[in-house]
Amino acid sequence: MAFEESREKLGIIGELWAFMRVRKKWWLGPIVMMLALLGLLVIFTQGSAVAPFIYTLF
Amino acid sequence: MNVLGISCFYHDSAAALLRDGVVVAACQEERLSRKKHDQDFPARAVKYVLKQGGIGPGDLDAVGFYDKPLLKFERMLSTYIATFPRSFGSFRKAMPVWIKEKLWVPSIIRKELRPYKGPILFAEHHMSHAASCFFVSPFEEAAILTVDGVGEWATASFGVGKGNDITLFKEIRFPHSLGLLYSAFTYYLGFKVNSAEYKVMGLAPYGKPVHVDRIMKEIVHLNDDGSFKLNMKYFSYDYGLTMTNGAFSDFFGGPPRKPETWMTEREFDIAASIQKVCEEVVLRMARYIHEQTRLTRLCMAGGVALNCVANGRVIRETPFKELFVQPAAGDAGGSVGVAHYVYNTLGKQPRGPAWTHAYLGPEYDDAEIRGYLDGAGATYRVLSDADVVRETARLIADGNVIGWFQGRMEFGPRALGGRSILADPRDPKMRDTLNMKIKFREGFRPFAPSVLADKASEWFEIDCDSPYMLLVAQVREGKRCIPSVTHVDNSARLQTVTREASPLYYDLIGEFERLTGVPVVINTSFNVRGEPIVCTPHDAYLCFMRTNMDHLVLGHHLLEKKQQPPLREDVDWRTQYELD
Amino acid sequence: MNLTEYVSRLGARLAHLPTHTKVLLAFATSVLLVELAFRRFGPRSKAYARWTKGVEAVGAVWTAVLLSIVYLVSVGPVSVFMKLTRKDLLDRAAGSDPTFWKAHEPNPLGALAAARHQF
Repeated sequence: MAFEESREKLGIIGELWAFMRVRKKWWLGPIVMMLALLGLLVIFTQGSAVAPFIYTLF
Repeated sequence: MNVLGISCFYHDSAAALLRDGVVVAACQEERLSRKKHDQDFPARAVKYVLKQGGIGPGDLDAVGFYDKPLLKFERMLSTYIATFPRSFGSFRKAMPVWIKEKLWVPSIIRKELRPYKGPILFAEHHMSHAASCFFVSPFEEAAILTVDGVGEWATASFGVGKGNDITLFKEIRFPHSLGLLYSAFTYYLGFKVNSAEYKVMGLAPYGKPVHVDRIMKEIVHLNDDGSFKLNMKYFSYDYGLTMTNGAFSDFFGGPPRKPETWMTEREFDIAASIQKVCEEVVLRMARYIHEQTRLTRLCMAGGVALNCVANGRVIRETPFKELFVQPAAGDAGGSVGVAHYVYNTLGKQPRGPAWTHAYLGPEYDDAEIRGYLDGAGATYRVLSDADVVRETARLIADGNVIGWFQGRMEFGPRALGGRSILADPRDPKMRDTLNMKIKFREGFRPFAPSVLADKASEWFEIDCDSPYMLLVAQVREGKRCIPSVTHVDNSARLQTVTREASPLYYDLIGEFERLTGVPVVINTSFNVRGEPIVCTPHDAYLCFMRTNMDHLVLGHHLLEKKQQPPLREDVDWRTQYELD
Repeated sequence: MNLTEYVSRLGARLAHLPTHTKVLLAFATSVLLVELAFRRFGPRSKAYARWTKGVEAVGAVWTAVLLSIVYLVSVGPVSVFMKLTRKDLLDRAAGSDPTFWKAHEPNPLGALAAARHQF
């Protein structure tokens, strides 16, 4: 279950990539990737012991 | 085939279950969570619609989400770029929510719908609106107009629906938005955005539209075809946390009105002006769409389609002969729309029957009601159907205010006789009584009438049905004996009631007519200001006990206030609900 | 390399770190240990709730700092580029076009494939 969940979440990277490619919005790349990486950091550390460093962000 | 439609994460989240093209159940999350305009994932509503359908998440064939999150994300980022550096405040506030939640819609849905493994499909926001009105309308082919604040980029769109397909032709794009324009004035007039726009509509008849020309000249550049651009110099919603800015205040000669402060002619005139502008835009759009499509039937959805004054003018003043407005025209209706889009358009399935009513929510049988009342120590009498009708009609005619809780709860923002407060429209003081002592809301706000459909044109200047209370019509001159539902401009936002849609409610109004000669009752939503409309017997009983309602009819149970034991509460309920 | 050797090498490495790095590492380790202790011994305690609240307050400041950096570093340059190329992503300029309706552009992937995507 955890693996599937992680795959689903990581799917956002592919989805954002496909979005920029199909809609030709390359200029969004830097902002979108920066925010998505921050998002992944928050999402993947939620509930773990390192949460005090992360979960309080955002 | 079971399709679940979901709308959430902005405002008014909701879920709808479609089985073989028919909506089995639809419900807004706010009614179950008791948090007005709840925007969270509609976990309770999903649970309810699945239960109503007798299935679990694993039995679903598809799940539809009502908009395209990444297009919305793109629009927001584009806005931040275009308005850099002024947009920092808005960026700072919005991005955490995106980072934590809105970018992860598929995984949130999967987590909430375990063990569902099927597809999650996304429709454009305005396609969801379009599908929400066209597929449940009685029309095989119709023009479609959707107008709201903003979806992804589109703020208004039009197209044509035919059979099981919808084609959208054109759109107006953010930041040019009729919905946001109206919301900006709502904000400026001291009301809550995305919530109290209808108050501006109710306020408008008190004023004169003296600012229309100035607005048209300086703020709204409107073309004959209804398309428009806003002069963004006056607005801050594209970069800030407010809707209007200093230039707007200068234009109208003062800062925004502070909420809950006294209103003057100035506020009335501004409300009248923006209402007139809104109507003008919608009318021009409708005429243009007719010109483009040559169709005589129109379906409307989107938050602006809840502006029933504009809707009334569309049917009276444009070449469209028939109009269908989705009762849940706002974002909640998107759940129904996306489910239909997935089933009918993507799945190429034939359409089901048209909606004849909006009673799509939870229902409680007599045993459940009695169980609750006994547990609460309430005193009640059990009546037959005929006695419910007879006694309630008599009580209303005698000047009592009645909480009326029957059958399934309505889907959409209007109470239509399922969860309503009813009263006598002939009593000129009833409006003040209801506003001040029952609903605890602003005194200027009008009340709406429910009228027997077959008597509607006798009493109101209307020659079509308005089953969802989404049309405004004038009260006929000889029938002005219903002051409590007649607004200052002699208009009324009416609901026409048929026996097919709501037999008990129809009979009740019929009995009231037999007693009084008036086939009309006041129908206002069963809640107090800021509270979501009641859903369960518990919600209804609490609302009844906390206010000055005289009687409560819960299914076949009649409760008199005087006979009830005092309500013991730990908290002051007035602090529970944020004022809207 | 056996475990004792590994630990002593790690110790030697840490000993060579600058003082401020040592302080930071010690602080982070303490926070981690306190969090683990709370989770193990008092996940529902009032003290843990207070601890979480305190860390959240610190996080609020960090969020503002991080987002300010993201905003300046990623939104800023693109915005400057757009301004230099005179491109307005919001099409705000007043115009006298006979119509402001824009064609609805369907997703180039086609309806069914597009529905599987969030764009």
